[in-house]
Amino acid sequence: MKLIETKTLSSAATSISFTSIPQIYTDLFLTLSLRDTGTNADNKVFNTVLSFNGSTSNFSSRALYGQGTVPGDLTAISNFGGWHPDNGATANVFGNTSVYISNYTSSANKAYSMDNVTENNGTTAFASIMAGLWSNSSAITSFTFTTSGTNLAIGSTASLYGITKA
Amino acid sequence: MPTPTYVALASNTLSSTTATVTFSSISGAYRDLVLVVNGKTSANQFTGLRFNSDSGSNYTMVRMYSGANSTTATATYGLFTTGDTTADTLSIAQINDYSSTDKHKTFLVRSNITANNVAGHAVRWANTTAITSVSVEAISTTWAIGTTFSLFGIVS
Repeated sequence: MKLIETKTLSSAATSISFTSIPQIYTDLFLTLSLRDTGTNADNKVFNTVLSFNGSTSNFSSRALYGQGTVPGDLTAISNFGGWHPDNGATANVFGNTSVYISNYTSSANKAYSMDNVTENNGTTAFASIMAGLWSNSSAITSFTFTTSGTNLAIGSTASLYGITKA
Repeated sequence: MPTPTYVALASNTLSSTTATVTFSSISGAYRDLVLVVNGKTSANQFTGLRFNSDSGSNYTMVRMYSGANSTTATATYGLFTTGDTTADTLSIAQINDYSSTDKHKTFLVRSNITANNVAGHAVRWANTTAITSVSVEAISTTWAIGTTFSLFGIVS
């Protein structure tokens, strides 16, 4: 596994992107640590939205999640990219997401595995595992994680790694 | 110098359908193994792992999943994933401390089938022998052409 690039927000922004991804690896692994500047009074979290090559089309996904003591099942959630804490969550706490994308340069559809947790020293926090599929034969050359809230906070980070099979 | 991770050990991309893909003569030089499988099966059936060709009732499991759950895997396999005929699936197994000789072997799986289910589970292989081969088996079906299998070693 080789680090390709790390990005850390020095100012609030709506998204974090990786572009011109080298096509020399087999798989990609991405880690994110995100927090929002906005406040969602209901859930203390905002959705993160994923796009590949600038496209939000042809995604399918499903998730198993827990929120407090409540388990749940989400289906047909398209390009949902997990949750991240809002500005009302415990101060200085960021969520964590990891994404594994296999065969990202191939002409087959792109399957990915995502694990996600929000953090909050309270009764509202989410943990989820998610299956995703981008039904597109194009190689992945860029991807973007965008908040559905206000902005991703300063200090939000993302690291992209490349993995090469034998 | 940073410790290497995900050292590529072996891979296989199917040019014809097959029920079983085996990685053998696995070096004991690593701490853990990671197996990544991406593709389809010819029927929506379970797939499983077997270590060192052990087909005995030596695999136990605890599982959480969302979605469909077709046939139930038996104790003669370590459950890997539910295969799908239409959607490319991605399943990742982390086989911990595989070369040890003083403990049973456990592996953790994340399996992802958007058309069927998403799951996480843990399996224990009740054997203290070091793992030297891993067989990835499509139970009562076959892996489809184009399915990829990649084995990595994690250095301790």
